[in-house]
Amino acid sequence: MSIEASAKTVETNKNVELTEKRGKKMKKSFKGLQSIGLPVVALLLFFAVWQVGVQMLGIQPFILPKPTDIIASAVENYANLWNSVIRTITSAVIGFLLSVVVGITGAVILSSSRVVQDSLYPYAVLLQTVPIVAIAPIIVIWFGSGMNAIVIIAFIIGFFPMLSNTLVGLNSTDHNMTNLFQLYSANRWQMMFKLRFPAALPYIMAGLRISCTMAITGAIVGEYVAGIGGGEGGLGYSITVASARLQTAYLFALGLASSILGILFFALINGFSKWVLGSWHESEMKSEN
Amino acid sequence: MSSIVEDKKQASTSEENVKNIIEVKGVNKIYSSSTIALQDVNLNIKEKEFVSFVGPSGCGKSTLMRIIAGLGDVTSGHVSVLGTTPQIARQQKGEVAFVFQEATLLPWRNIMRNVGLPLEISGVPSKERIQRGERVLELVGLKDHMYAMPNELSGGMKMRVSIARALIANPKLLIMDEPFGALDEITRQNLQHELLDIWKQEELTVLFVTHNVFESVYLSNRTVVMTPRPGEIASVVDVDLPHPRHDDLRTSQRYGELVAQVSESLKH
Repeated sequence: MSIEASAKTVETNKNVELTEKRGKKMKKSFKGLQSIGLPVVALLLFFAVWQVGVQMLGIQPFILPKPTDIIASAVENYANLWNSVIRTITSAVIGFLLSVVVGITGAVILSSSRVVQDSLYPYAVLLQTVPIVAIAPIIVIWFGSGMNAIVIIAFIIGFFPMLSNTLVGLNSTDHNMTNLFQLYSANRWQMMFKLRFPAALPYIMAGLRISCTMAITGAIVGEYVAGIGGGEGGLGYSITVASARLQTAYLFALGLASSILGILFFALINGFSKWVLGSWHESEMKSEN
Repeated sequence: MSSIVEDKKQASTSEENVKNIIEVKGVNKIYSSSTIALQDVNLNIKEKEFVSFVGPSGCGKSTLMRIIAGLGDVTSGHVSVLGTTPQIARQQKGEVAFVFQEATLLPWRNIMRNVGLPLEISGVPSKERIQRGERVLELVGLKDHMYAMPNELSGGMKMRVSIARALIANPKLLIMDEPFGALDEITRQNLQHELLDIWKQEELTVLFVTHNVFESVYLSNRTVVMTPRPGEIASVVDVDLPHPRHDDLRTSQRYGELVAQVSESLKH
């Protein structure tokens, strides 16, 4: 068979595959509707049981508020709630970005030399095992109460997953590809940025997904310890205040807001990861079988 | 034994006055674990020859290819490629290309950017990379797919891309280490014919490693039979079949005899 002829057969095969794929897509969107619709119905049912149950059993609102109480308190404290959310987002995002930049840079430096990696990596692991709450007061003493300390706490919590994931990624480059680059006499720089770094992207994206939710947790924990009043405290500070005043309904609203924040941040990073890896990595490719 | 075969071979072709592109003299390779990968290997390969290497796993054929490509050192003995050391032939002249068993395409790059990689590493500007990329992709029949991603291609197409990438720097010497081992029989036979066409058209010298006795005879001018423990050359079989080769050759009597001869040497 000539080259062109074989190329053409491949092409017709491809067209057949494409039409098959379109059919599958239609089925998929139907399934998608189901996979979103059912959980929503379950959630609404859950809230309804909660509302009616609390009302019928006559539970005190400071023990367990009704869903409507929670909504009312969120509306009532709207200004404070919105302000807290913005503060927390700001600290968490800055802390997260710092952990990404420092984590990836650190991993690139560590992986460029076996000696450096072997001598420093154990300390990075050690740093991870220190409970953040235990050292938070020290950070407050060093950097003062307020945003600086909060950002640093969010950074420390998000840093390690970034570092370790990137490092594992950089060190697990396919052996054949390393051979290929050696064959073409690539220098260390080309080896790093044309091969090892792009090959590590799936691992880096996994690190991003872990770090982003941890950075939100870190920011809220930071606000517990280092949050200050006057609308500068964020969700963590508002939670401590509401807890002291026994505003249970507002505590629920704050907890809910924190969760939604975490989910949205995760969804954003997840979307980013799909966009980066979509065209080539198995984890993000639409399955064809 | 192998050196005697070589001497005879040299005597018979000396009047043709064709240059040796590769000379391997008394090469031994011993790994630190004291396994003898290669023992007293002697071999000369002339320009534009198609030489296949056949033998079981562990016979040292891949090791020998890595040494010729300048990716590994010999324990003792001497290797020259294009009149210089293997490293210089590969790095400074860019005359040596290698095709691995796996296509080894970078999954995050499209076909064109995969094929252009060798030139990109050596600093060739992108306009020239694309021109030369188009030429070699046309050669392997994949010009229409140059913006596809590797995961959209079949195994045979990936191997064609891998061959195109090896050819983009205009090498004189193409080393292929079991390139068609993972392909189905039909794809394999198509690629064999395409490879022979490319070999003629580009005036290449090809070293082709395979497990498959039929493939080694069908493709080559000479088949080097290697045996393991220690890895050495058992015999060199001259394949006196005419070119161009077609599928009807596979049922010819002479082809059958040569296959039998190679298989016999493998049993040592």
